[in-house]
Formats: sequence, C-alpha cells, structure tokens
Amino acid sequence: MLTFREYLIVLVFESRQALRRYELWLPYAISSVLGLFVIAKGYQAFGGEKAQAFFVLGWVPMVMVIAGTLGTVSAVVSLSLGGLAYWLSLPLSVGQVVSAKLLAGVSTSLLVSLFALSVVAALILHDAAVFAPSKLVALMLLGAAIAGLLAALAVLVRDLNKLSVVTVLAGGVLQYVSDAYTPVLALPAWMRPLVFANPVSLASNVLRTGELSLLFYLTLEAALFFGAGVYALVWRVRRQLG
Amino acid sequence: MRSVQKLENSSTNVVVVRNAVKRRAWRTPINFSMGRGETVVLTGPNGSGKSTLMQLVIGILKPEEGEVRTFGVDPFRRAWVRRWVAVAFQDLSLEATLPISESLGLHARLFRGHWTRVVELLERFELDAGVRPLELSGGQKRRVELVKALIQDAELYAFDEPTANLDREGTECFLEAARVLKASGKTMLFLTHDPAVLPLADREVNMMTLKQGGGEVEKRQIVLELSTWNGELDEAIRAVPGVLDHRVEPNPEVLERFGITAGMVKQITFVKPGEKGRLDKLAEAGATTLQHATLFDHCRLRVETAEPEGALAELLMFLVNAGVRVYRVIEGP
Repeated sequence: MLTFREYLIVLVFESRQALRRYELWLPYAISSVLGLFVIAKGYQAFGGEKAQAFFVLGWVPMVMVIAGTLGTVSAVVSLSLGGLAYWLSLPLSVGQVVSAKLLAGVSTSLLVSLFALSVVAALILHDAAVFAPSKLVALMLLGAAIAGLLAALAVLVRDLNKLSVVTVLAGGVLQYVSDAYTPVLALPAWMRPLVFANPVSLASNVLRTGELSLLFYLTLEAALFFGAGVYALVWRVRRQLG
Repeated sequence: MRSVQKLENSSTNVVVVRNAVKRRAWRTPINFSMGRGETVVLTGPNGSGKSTLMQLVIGILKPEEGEVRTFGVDPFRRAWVRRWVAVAFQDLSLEATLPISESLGLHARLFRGHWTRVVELLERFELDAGVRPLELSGGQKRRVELVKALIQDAELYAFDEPTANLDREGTECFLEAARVLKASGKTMLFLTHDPAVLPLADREVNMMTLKQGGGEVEKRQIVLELSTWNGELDEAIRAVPGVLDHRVEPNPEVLERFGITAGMVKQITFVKPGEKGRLDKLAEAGATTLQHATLFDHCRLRVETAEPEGALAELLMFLVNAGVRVYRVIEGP
C-alpha cells in the first residue's frame, strides 16, 4: 500500500517551513546576488560580454552549494536531535521522512538560485532563455545531488558540532573544483576529471549550453548522491533509535 | 475505507508480539497481544520497557528477535499500517517552535481529520491554538499531545502516561474521551501508573510479568513497617508499579491486647462509613470481626513483587506521597 499522499503533505509542509526560515537563506541570497552583480561587471570589464555570460551562468549553480549546505545541515540536525518520534509515528517509512526533510532543504537552495537567475535574466544578460525548462531541471537535480552528497558525508561526523568540518570542506571542493568560474582548459590536467564529474560543472554547462546529454549525467549523479544521502541518514536514524 | 475493511477481515488480534527481544529494554523473549476492541493497561516500573514495547507495536522500533504484528502486518516494514494507529507519546512530540494550530493542522490533514474536530478538542482541553509548545506548561503540553492522538479516527490508540502532569479537570476530560473511544469499540493501550485509568481496563498487564515469561514469575517479598494504613491506600497500592500482590498485617501488640495472634487473622476488610452491611454479612458467615482505631498504627505491609529493587523504590515514593512513615524495611532487596 502506497503512502504518496502522506509523503506529499509532509514534503509540502516541510518545504514551507524551510522557506519560512528566512533567517537561514535570505541574508545569503542577498549577498550572493550582490556579489554576482558586482563581479559580473568586473568580468565584463576585463573579458567582455562572453566572459561575463560564462561567469554568471556558473555563479548560479555555485550559489546552490552554500544554500544547499545550509538546508542540508538543518535537515541533518533535525533528524539527529530527537523530535523524531512524531515523524516516525506517521504512516511513512524512515526513508520517506528522511527524503522529505532533505528535499525541503533543497527547496531553499532552489529558491536562492532562482533569485540569482532572475537577477541574471533581468539585470545582466537581459535574456529570459535562462529560464528554459531544461535549465530549471538542472538546478533541481543539482540541489538534490548536493543535499545527498553532503548528507552522506555528514554521517561520517559523530559530533554534530563538527558537522561544518565536512560540509564546508565538501562545499569548497564542489564550488572550486568545477568550471563554475574558470574554463576547464585553464585548470591543471589532474584536476579535470574531478571537474567534469562535479555536478556543479554539469549544471553550469547545462545553463550555458542547454546540452541534454549533460542533463542525463546530472540525473544519474543526482539519483546516486541523493540515494546515498537518504540511505546514510536512514542508517543513522535507525542506529540512533537503537 | 476499503483498506479498513481489509484490516478487519484479515485479523482478529489487533496486536501480536511473539517472542520479541529488544535488548536495550529486555533480553528474554516476551509475548503480548491485544484483541479487537480491548483496553489494556500496561503497568511496570520506570525503565521496565513499557514505552519500548509501545514503540515496537506502532513500528518505530523493530525487535532484534521475534516478531510484531499490528493489524496482521509488520508495522516496522509496512508503515502504512500506522494510518489506523493514534499515539500520544510521553513527551510532546510536535515541533516546539510552531504554533500548535499548524502542527495539529498538519496532523489532521495527514489522517483525514476535520479542522472542526481539532477546534472542538482544543476547546474541550482548554488550549489556545496560537501558542507554541515552548510557551506551554507540562500539563498543557500533555493536553496537546492527547489532542493530537484524539484528532484521529484510528482503530488502535496508544497512550503513554496520558494523565502524567494533568490536573483533575484535564484527567477527567481525557478519561471522558477515552470512555467514548471504548464505547465505540476502539482498541486502546495505556501505559500508566495512574489508578484513575484502571477502571477503563479490560485487562491489566505488568511489564515485569511479561518480561518474566507470562505468569511464571518468581515472586519475591518485601516487608515494611509503617506508621499507618487505610482503605484508600489499600486500593491505590495496586497501581504501584512492580507490586503483584500485597497484604497488610495489623499491629501485633494491639491484637495481643484482644488475645489474638497474627496467625488467627484470616482477612482484612476496609469498610467505608456507609458499608456497615458488609461487616454484618461477615458476622453472619460466622467470622469474628474486630474493629479498632489503632489496629493499623505501626502495622506491617507484605508486598509480592517480581523485581524487588524497582518495586521498593516505587513503593517508598508512593508511601511518602501518601504521608505514611516507613519505620523500617524488614525484608527486601
């Protein structure tokens, strides 16, 4: 017997709660858009329109990494500090509870990236094509991949106070070992396989080129990472329950 | 509705726990079952595993050995079965920072409850929908947790310490709701020490008895010397966790004054002022009755228990709360 109805209700509820926690995402959304606007002007001044377009379409997925970290950390913390009894008494499996909470975290990173994308479309590139469905799907997939990867890594940390060690490090790798800011050919050869595999690079290139084959790889990565994150958190919750 | 029908057709026992072991709470297999429409009160000392057993029944936990069936299925693997289960936990389980209207609204949506039912219950339990749990007292939090469970039109209700922290009005309000559920044939599991809940029970199960393998319990005795005893205490002691049986013995010195030895006393009956007829009946049956104001000053209480350490702690707490002085523990752990 399926429990989609209950799952959707919890997902919508949790996403609404995540979005209402504006203190978590709004300051970052504003500062990231400010950075986007100013640095885009610099790229334009030094490299022209093409360099500017390259930068801004890499910046939007990059924004998701930090916003995704915030969302994932709050999901992991809420699943680790008690208060689980209610969710586990619902007609939902532990996996469904965990995935709903992780996806709620994704909703905040998606909101922040859409905010940045709107600034790109309205103030920098003056092009509504950045809102093409394939590009929005890429952002959603990237959000899921980041949340899953960070959740899977968070399980390695026993002490929640030290969660930032893993999330900040992993977030740093995701942001900088990518071609979000720098063309891959300008990076050292040993770095390139990592750059190609990085979901942030894949999403950046979908935004830049709209290439659907990249979307396919991104889908695979999102499924793999999100699945790993849910599995790891389910394991942690069960271990916690005893 | 179709699913409820399916559940009704497929199982006679609502809950079956067979040879279940959950090492953090007990290591010997336990067996427990609840029939449809049955009200069971599960008693036992703190830490005896009552809440763990409830969590097994609703599928939050799974046993390391044995099996649990709720409505005929494994509730841990088949989460959907919880559509027919309402739970009130010992502590408030709702999000502490959200107004209770939001949390209860979510709960009502999940279990197809009507908002009017939520409003009605909030009014009945005298709760303000706009407050957050953080702003509530212990008793009010308990009321919210009970309202959460009562919103549901479930088949099985599980209440963990439902009257803890509740005042008399709150307890009566809850008991009234529980009586309505019982009358409508719902299955209910109470985990409680409160004697007020006992009259609702079709069956009282002691967790210690379960852990000792059903009725085959090795009973141990505790004997205490007390300042006084009365009929009310005699009723209330039955609800003290760990107490399987008890017997009070009058002060032997007072008995001696009447030329009676302790062995001659066959029965102690506490008679309320309006029940003098009971004494007459005993006299008619040929018993010699003795009434004296100081009969239970400096008396002895013999308690049978399966777990002396836990029971003694609960017993001492009960006696202190009842204003009875304990002069010494003559026999015990």
